[in-house]
Amino acid sequence: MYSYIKIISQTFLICIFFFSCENDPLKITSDYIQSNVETLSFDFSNTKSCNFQSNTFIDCSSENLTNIDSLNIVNSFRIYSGGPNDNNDQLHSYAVFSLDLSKSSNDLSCTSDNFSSARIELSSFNQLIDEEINDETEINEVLEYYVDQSGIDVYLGNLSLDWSNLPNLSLDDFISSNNFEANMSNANFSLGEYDITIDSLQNYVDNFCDLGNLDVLIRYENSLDDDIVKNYIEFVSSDYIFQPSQPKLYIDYNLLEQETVVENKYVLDSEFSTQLFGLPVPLQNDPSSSDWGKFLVAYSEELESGNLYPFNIDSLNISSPLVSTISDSFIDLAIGFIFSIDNTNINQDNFFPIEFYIDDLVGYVESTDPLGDNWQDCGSDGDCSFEDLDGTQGNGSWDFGERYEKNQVLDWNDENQNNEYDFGEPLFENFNDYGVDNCPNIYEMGIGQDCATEIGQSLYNDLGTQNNNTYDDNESFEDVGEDGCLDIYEDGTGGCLLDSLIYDIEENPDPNGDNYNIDPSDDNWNDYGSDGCFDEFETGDPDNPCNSDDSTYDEELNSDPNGDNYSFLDNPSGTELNGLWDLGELTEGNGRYDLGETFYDVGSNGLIDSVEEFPDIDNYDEINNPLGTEGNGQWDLGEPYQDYGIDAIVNYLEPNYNTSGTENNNLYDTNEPFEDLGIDGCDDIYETGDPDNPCNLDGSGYDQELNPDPNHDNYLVDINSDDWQDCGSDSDCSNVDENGSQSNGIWDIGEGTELNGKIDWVDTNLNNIIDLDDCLEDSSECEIWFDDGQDLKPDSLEFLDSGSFLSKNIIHNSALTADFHIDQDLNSDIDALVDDSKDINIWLASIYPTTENGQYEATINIRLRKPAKAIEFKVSHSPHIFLDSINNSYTSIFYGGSDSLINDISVYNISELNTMHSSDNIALSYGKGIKSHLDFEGLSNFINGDSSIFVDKTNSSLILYSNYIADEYYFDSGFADIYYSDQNIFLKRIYFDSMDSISIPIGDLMQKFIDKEFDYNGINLEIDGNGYNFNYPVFYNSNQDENSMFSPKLNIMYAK
Amino acid sequence: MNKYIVMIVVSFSFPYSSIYGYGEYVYSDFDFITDYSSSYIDYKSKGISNRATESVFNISYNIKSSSADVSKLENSYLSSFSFLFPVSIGHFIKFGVSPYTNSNINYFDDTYSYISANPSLGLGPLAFNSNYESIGGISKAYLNYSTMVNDNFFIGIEYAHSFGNLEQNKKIFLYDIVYDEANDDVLINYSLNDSMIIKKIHTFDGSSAKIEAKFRSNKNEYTISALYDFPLSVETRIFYNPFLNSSNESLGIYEDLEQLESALDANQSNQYKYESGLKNLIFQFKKEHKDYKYLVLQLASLDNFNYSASTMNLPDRTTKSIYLGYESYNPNYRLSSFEYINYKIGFYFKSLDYSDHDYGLQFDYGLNYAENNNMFISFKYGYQTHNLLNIGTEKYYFISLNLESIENWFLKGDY
Repeated sequence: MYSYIKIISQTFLICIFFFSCENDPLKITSDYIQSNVETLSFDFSNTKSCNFQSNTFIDCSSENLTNIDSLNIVNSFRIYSGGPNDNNDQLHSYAVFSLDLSKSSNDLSCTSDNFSSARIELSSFNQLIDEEINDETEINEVLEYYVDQSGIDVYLGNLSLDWSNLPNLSLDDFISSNNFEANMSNANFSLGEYDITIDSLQNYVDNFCDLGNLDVLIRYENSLDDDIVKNYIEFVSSDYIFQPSQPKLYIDYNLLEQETVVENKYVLDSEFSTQLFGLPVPLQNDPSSSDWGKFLVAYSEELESGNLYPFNIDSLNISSPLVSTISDSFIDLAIGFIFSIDNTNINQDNFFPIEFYIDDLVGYVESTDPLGDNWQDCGSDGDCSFEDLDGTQGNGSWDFGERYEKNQVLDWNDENQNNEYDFGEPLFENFNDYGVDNCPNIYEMGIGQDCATEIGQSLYNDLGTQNNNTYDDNESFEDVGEDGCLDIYEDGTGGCLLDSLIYDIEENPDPNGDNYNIDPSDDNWNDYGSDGCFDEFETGDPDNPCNSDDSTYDEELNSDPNGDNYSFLDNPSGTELNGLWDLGELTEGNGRYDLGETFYDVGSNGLIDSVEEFPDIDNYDEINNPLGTEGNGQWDLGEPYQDYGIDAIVNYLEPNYNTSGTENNNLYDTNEPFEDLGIDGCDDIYETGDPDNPCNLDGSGYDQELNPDPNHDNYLVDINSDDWQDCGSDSDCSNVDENGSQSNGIWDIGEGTELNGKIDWVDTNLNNIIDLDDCLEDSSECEIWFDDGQDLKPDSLEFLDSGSFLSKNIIHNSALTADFHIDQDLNSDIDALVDDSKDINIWLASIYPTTENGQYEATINIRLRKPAKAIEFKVSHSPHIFLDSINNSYTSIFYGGSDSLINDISVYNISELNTMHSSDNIALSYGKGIKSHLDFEGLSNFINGDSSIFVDKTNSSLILYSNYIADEYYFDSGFADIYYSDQNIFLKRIYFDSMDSISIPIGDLMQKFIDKEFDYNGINLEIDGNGYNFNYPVFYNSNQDENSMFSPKLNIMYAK
Repeated sequence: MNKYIVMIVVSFSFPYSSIYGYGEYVYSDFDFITDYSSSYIDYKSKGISNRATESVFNISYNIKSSSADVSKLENSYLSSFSFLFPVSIGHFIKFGVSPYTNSNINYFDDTYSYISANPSLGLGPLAFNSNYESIGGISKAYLNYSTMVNDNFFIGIEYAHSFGNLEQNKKIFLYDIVYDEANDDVLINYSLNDSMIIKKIHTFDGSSAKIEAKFRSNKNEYTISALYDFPLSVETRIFYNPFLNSSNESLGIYEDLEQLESALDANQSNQYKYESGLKNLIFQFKKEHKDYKYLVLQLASLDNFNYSASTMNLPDRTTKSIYLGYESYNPNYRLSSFEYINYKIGFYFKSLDYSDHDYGLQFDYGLNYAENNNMFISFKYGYQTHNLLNIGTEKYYFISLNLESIENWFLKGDY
């Protein structure tokens, strides 16, 4: 007992030490432990805020607001040449790139004699040209110029430029101190679609690799009057973050390097070796070919005509066997070839001996039946040497057990062993299931017409979309739903009626319930403007602005008949597509409260009494609190509402809401009728044959006889109408056969014979076997079959089967090579190595020098013991492997930014920010160095107050309202990235077509101020040089009393 | 020879106390430094006990189950780890590590607070509630020395280094308020809008000294123990939203402090230093009314950390306590079998700040379950009030397990 207790107690103790409790969060409330979350809104301080044009913030109360002695706008991602567009200035900019070549001079590419050439590649943001490769010349051809190429000047040399003091650089000083036209070289360049390349820099400067610095100046002026030609080029700068797009310096150079070289020790001198039986024997002498050294010995037209490619036996049309008979026990053939050795190699170590050997020998047998499967009437035992007692041997007809090829019977597996072919029994041999016309669909020319001789002659088109019985894109269809009929013919059970019996426009408008409808009440907001319709339905008539029948809309000529499309530049008062609800537009989902919509009368604070700390404060009372918003019976700003439209019903609760309906869903659904006109959308008679304009009402391309399908889109796969389609014995699918032969899954007499999966034939001799005697009189009733036996190969091709290859003995193989030395002729003694049991013996018989220096003649001997149709083999050798110095070509690429190789700037005049501009609005511009200093009343005290504040990132924001009508506003494309300038912290990317107000998440920045990570000195905003540098977004400040509602707003939500 | 051991370790574990100060106090209010040196002499036989050659490895583990009006809570943790060995006759040195304060609690205040709508800023009405988590506490590594001045007077001193981290996490959940109507009543639904996570990490660095004196007179024994805290430095770092990736909150936050500290810098950091002062004072009177049967009276006072109560924790509480108990020891229990046990039974009452009190019964016994291996188990059943929390009175059950392994290898023979 005691021991049990000990064990239990010990086990318990061990377990308890591994035991740990986990608890779900407790639910505790305490008046002493609380989270305080509060929101604060700060009023914009106009007196403390201003725009400024300096690297460091200047006190807005200072009069020295126009100080532009230092603008840090030299780190742009973009460099400008020419006249970039901006709000009002006529800018002209020079693009300057300065190459610090000392960074590259120590590179291998620029040492001693390695240097070959150098070039600069400058990428552009804007497309410069449009080019296309000419298929014939394979040369790029320029289709369109987007810059005036003649206005581009590239200068190379040295500029007087203090890169350490760029912010103080002025255009006038730059021009006056640099007479670049006189002092620099005007260099050639080439344009790519998005780059300019300045090639062969070494031609413009001396001792390129010794240069410390090389400046490139690009001047551009557009003198063309063409809208598509830009006035400026926007280069990618070395500050751009994506390295491959940065300015690049390429240096081509050569380098002598030790490498292991593997090369052939000789070259084969000719495509043909010595003649054999009066014919030249071709060999593959191209050292780059994997077949180098391969010989093909055969009689063929291809070899005789010198058409050696492809160099394979199965591509040859062999006219006669190489050796048809062998009178003695064997015949010797000798094939010679000439090779040359480079004399410069003969003294190299390990060059000799040259170890020759023969590889890949194949002897193709010459035989009338290479695989021995031809019928020989040997009887049912298949052996002619034993006479069959059943009379099957020598009876002149094929019997089971005899071989199959050329037995004049289409062989089959007689599964029921009744010696008769029964439908369904598998066939051993192939037949053409082309139908009794024996013409495959792709060659069919029409009933009674001869079969085409090559593809393309027939009108066969299995990719055609017209009349293919399948709906294709662009074909018109009746959007009646999967039931296939309009509402008025629906029967209420998913089917269709011939007459309108159930449909009632009021009581039963959709009997089958298949109408697609996501807005039954037709009250969803669409931003079509106050006229109530989109452009496509606009008439241009103020009295009747919307009418689809009278619409004057034309995509190109009259794209906005009522002139109500919003454009912040051209039509800021436009109501269509302005992103806002306007009078005349519908109300569900319009983002605003509409009379009739359900709202919760909880007051403008959005809180119901039960959760308010002081519920009575906002409760409406006619006498005591007439301004109270809670319970006042009307909607007040801030009160929650259901944006379901004036019917106060959300779409999915509106009667007849149906997202799965197929009628009127603007999508093709199964069973819907469609016009099977093809993807061109028009019938043959309206087809033009022009891919760009495939249809034309005048039918200019159609001709019933000569051009019945101009667009070649008719689906035609059975021109002779002989394909099996299981249409029944009457061969008419439209007429149901009463005998059950239609759609029964099997072929019936009378049905089409092509592709019916069976051989079609007439048993003329009534022996129930498919044999050559059938269809002798009328071959048009039978499909062609092939009496090739079970191997399915005719005798003429059986020699290519590996089972028929001649046996072989390669005497000089890779293990026993024929070694050739320079100072010794080779004369092989191979008698002991010949294997008389093999059909072919082959060896390298001799090598002798010719009269030509370094040239030798070798002889291959072949001893044949059986007739051969052809022979192929390859002469190989052990290659020469040695170390050598190789002059390799390389290119070094130096990236402007990553390698700190290139400095670049745009040089242009900057106008000074005047006092008015500094205080009228909030303005930001990178290209002009304009930043904005924003301050809010009480914000500084808030930041410097409680240091334990935690700012919520989601609900803290700075809201700015765009002032499009400001004179200086210019922002019509691309984007601009707004940063907190003091610490270069990204805040927000805005786009030119952004909403009128932008909400900048400011929580992180406020937190850093509160944490004292940053000193608060106002919210200083700037735009960086990532986007187009001359974007000039302008926002309202609180100066304009009439627009005080657009004053910047700062909201901070925080916790303690 | 009479042999006996007194090594009953009683640890208090109050999960709800994790909410106070730097967490609950884990202290051994019955374990005095001088216990070993005073037990060296079996004063009844005036002989030397076998403890002169014993070294003791000790480890204890606490388990507690408590319930209040709102919830039930389980908690368990390793509460001490020590090694004691004799250095000469009547002189013992002990070193070890144990938690001093411990916090391990996760609680959710699901009561919503509300923020009014601000239409001009595009903000609708919001609600929020919070989850709090407190993990860690102050640990101590200590070295103490006890000696026998004479057969009736014993002195002990202890130096301890205080260290450790305490993490306090607050998650504030912000919700959009969505109104709905049912049966003419307006219902409020809450849709999560955002969350704000505040993680405070307190790092402790300090030291303390304890001095004890024990005096025996006939059958009476008087013990007084005073713990003096030297200045305690507390560095508090605050991290806001310490997400693994600030752009993707769904990835979660850093799971442990090491990851967090290697990846992020604190948003704020401040340092506070507690002045030195008397922290804990205990007086115990023990009277033997029969052989090895004792009556015990213990009075204790525990000063609080003047913790700057924040919205995440309740202020630390001072404690005045009294214990009345009866103890029985069997001096032979280690030599024989299972029926020889030691036990204590007592009642305690503690008066805490904010009119809170903690009282209950406790029963302890020890047994020798294997050669040189002893087990001591302490049971406790009590009540504690928490007037600063809306949870009613906490009722708790407490078990402390203590394993003691005795070795004689450290010192052998006469010395």
